[in-house]
Amino acid sequence: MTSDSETKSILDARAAQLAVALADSARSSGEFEVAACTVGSEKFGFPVKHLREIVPLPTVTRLPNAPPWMLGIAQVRGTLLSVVDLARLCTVRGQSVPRHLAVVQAAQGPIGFTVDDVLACRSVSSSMLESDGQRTDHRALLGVTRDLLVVIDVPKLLASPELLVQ
Amino acid sequence: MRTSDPEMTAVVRQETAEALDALLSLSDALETGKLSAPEFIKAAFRVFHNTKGALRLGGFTQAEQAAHAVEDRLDALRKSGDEPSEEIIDLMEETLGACLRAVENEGAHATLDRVLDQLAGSTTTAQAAARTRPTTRPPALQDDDAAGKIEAASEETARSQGAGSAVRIEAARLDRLMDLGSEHLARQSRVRERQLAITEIADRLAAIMKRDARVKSILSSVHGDLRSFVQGEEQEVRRSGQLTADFDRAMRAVRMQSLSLIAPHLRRTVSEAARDCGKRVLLKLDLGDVEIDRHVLDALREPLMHILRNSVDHGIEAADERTKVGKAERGEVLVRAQVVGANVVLSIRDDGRGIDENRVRQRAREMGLAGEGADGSFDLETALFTPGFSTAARVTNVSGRGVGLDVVRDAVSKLGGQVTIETSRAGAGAGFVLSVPASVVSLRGLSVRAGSGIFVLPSTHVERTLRVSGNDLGSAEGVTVLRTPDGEPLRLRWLSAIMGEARSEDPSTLKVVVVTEGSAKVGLVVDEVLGDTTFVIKPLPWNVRRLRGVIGATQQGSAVLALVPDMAQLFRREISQAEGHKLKLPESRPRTRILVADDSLTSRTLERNILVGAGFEVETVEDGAAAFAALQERPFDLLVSDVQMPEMSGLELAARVRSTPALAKLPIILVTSLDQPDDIQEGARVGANEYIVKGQFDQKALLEAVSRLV
Repeated sequence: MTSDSETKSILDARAAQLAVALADSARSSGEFEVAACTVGSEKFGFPVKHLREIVPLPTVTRLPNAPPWMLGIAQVRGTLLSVVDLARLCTVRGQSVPRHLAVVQAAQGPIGFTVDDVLACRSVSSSMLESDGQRTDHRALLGVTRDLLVVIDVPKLLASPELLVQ
Repeated sequence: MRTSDPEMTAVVRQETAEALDALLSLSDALETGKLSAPEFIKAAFRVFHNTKGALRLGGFTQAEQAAHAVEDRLDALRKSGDEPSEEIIDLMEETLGACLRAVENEGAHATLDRVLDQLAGSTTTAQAAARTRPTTRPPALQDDDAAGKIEAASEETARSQGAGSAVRIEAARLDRLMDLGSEHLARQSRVRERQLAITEIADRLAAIMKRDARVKSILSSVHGDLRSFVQGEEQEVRRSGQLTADFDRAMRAVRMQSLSLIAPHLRRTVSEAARDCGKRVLLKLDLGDVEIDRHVLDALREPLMHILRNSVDHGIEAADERTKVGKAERGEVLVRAQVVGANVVLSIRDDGRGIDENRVRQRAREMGLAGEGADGSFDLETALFTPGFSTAARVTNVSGRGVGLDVVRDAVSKLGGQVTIETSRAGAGAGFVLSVPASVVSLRGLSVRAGSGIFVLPSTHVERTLRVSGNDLGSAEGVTVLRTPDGEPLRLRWLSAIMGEARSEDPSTLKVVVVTEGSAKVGLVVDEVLGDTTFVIKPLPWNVRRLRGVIGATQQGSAVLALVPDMAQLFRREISQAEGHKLKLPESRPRTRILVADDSLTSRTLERNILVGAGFEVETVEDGAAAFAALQERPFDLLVSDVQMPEMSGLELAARVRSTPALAKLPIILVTSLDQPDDIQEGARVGANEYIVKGQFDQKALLEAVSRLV
């Protein structure tokens, strides 16, 4: 038998252990920041760690012979980047009126995706994400939160063959 | 992979130093009996082989040759089974020491020369001498050229290693700086626009004050403040504009590098190619003190290597072949650089067999390529620049892999430059001329609008601009052409159609920019010519690897980006097919048919050639009677006739034509050697429309007369 104080210290130690483990599992289950934006009548979240910046939509110059989702090219801080019509690429519901450009940093350089309005930055946990029945066909989504924020899987999006114009 | 890279040099130095250490411990082991002679030879051979590779990569040609010579000696020893003598081991150590000094750049060539001489001298067996490949150490390399080579190389190394106060900057940072610089320039023009807007506001205020004295008294001090602000702002903008311009120039200067930095690279390319082909080739460089933008220099490397390899493999003949045709046994390739205006013109000439036009034509036909015109003319450049074109019967290490001159042309046109091929009579060598802008910071170009897009055409490709009327258009082989005074029909292409938009359907007046690529010419139809401009090509974003028709973009004053068309691609025929719709214009009628009547074969042929060259269909007859018969049998749009002919004279023929109802309206041009006013009057009387005197006869006069009538 152990004394009460011993019992207490053992329990405390366990609690501390569990607390650490809990915090760890919370992190590993993927609590992360996303920037929430509207596109058409939907909401999209870009994980902040992949985002370089969101800027007001610059003047876009059309490129000839480019696929329809590629709106053209624009210059952001002296760097030339492609402007991709996110609404068209992801077949978004509702009418999208692009007003901002989410600039995402790929290994090879930046690339921009059009969004309508920027809502806020918020925290999302990947354990809370559910797959969206309507969208499971698209590879580049991490999932959807309960309040219907569609979280984008940026590395997968960047790896989509559609993005490459050859 | 070049001496201009200090990091590479450091690696080579380390490897050479380690090799020397290894060799010293090997000879120690041999002396103390820890190694047998064959074991030593085998190990030493590996040491020299590796060092040779490192030296080659570093571009230390002469040191590499020395290492190679030792390798040959070791190989001979291994075969003969002889023990390595002390002298040979000493020589081996001395060689590596000399190599190390060559890499470290201290009086290197003198020692190396001595070592090389010794190595050459101690090669005793004829067998070993025979094995020495022709380029390993040709006697010719003992002349000034070899010493010059090493000197040049060390000079180049010294320069790039920061002798003096040079600093090495990572290329990407320099590019970033340039991006920011051009963004700054663009901002500057926006600031200027805003300043003009403020001036306008002040003017409007002054206009309001003029109308009402009471308002004037109330606002006069505000207006005064605004005026002085505007003046101050004007000065400010002007000063910062000057600063920006200075910055731009400084930026440009920072990016300039000596073209001679590329020299070791070119030498290596030629010596490697020559070795692989078993030929002897001397590369002569005349690069002067030409400076060129870092980016251009980098981008030129591959194309130049490509052309040099081509020259060595295809151009320069084998030694025995050269001797047979009375040429020096050793081939020569000369690379010369010159500054012409804002461009650097690089010519690469060899004294080889030249480009065999018949072979190219035959190969083009086999491959089913374009290039052969309907009239049997053949465009050599079109064929040679076609992707995948190669006449090499076999694939060698050096060339013939079907990665052809199109790659060269692509690379050069990305820089806003162009490539032309100089052919000479058979056997007298071939030449390539690359013309590229010396600086990418600003290229000259012509800004145009086509459809909704703004485009900048590099000046190197722009010949002139024309305004043409729809009446000057014609059609040949389903393509719209412009008939020009000098007889050569100009193929027209609508820039908006190339760029995937509908082309403007107003053919009454067209704005045409005549663009050239080598000897080819095309008329680009645009909607508006906006004027001359300077621009910086930015490559398309990373995810746009290849886009038909466009090679880059450039920022002009405003926020709109102008696109830079791919001029090389423009000249490829597949685009004209990809444009899809067949051109249909009211002008696209069947070709004009002309009957030429002349009893002189020379005149007949001359006239015929001129007219065919201008795109007309021509039939010839020898006299007036035959002409009249032809006119009655077949439809013609015009008659060109000599006056003095047997059987029926030109005057008689003209009179008969006019009196024949079906032919009465046929335009007639009379041509004669007689310069008599009477004849001209007589000609006019019988109904000739134009009269050309043979004494003044030239192509232009004839074509002008023809174009007035049809």
